Amino acid sequence: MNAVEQIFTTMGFSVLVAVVFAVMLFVSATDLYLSYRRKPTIGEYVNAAVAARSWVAVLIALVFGAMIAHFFIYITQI
Amino acid sequence: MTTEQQAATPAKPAKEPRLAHQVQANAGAFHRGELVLHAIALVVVALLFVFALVALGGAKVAACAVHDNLNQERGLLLAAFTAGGFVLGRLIGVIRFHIREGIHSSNRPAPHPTAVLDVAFVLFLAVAALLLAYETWSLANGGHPPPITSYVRCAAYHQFPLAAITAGSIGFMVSSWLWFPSK
Repeated sequence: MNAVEQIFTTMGFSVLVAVVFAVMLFVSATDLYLSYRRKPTIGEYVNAAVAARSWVAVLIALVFGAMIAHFFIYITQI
Repeated sequence: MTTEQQAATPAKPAKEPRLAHQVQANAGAFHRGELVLHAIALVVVALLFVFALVALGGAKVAACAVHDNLNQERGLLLAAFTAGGFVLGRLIGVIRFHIREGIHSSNRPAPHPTAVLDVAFVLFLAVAALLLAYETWSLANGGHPPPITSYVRCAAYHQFPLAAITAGSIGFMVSSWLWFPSK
C-alpha cells in the first residue's frame, strides 16, 4: 500500500469542498442582493479598490493563472 | 480652422457602440434578465455544492494513490474551462456595466466599501493564509499529510464534470472582480 494512500482522508476533501463552495455561495448570494438593490456589485468594489493600482489586479491575476496551471496542467502527478 | 472656430464648434457626442446603446436604452429589461440569470447561477452553485457533498459521501480516497494510466488531457480541459469562464466573465461584465449606466445615468452611485465587505475580505485572506500555511507544512513534511494540491488534483481528476463547471465558475467570478469594466 502506498504511503499516500494511507493518509488521504475524507476530512481533507470535506474541507476542500467547504472552502470552495462557501466562497462561491457567499459571493453569488451577495452579488444577487447587490444587483437587486441596484447597488454597486462586488466587481465594482474591487474595481474601485484596484483602479489606482492596476498592478495589484495584474499580480492577483498572475497568481490565479499560476495556481490554475499548477493544479491542472500537471493533474496526473497526484 | 482657427482656434476661435474650434472653440465655437460644438463637440460631437462620442459615438457609442451599438450593443452599449441598446443595453443602456433597455436597461430596465436587461436588469430584470440579469437578476433572473443571477438567481439561476445561485441555484446552480447550490446544486453543485449538493453534488459535491453526494460525491464526497461515496468517495473512495484510495483511488488517489493509483497513478497509472491517468489522462493528461483532463487537466488541459480544466485549464481551458477556467480560461473560458474568465473571458466570459469579462463579456458579461461589459453588459452589466452598461445596464448600470442605463439605470443610473449620471447619478450612478460610487462604490463605498462597507464594514461587511471589509470583514468578508479579511476572512477570505485569513482562510487563504491558513490554507497556504497547511500547504507549506505538508510540503515541509515530505507530503505527509498530502498537500492541498494533491487533494485538488485528485478531486478534479476523479470528479471531472463537477470540477469543470466549478473551475469555469471560479474563472468567471475572478474575472468579474479583476476585469470588471470601469468606463
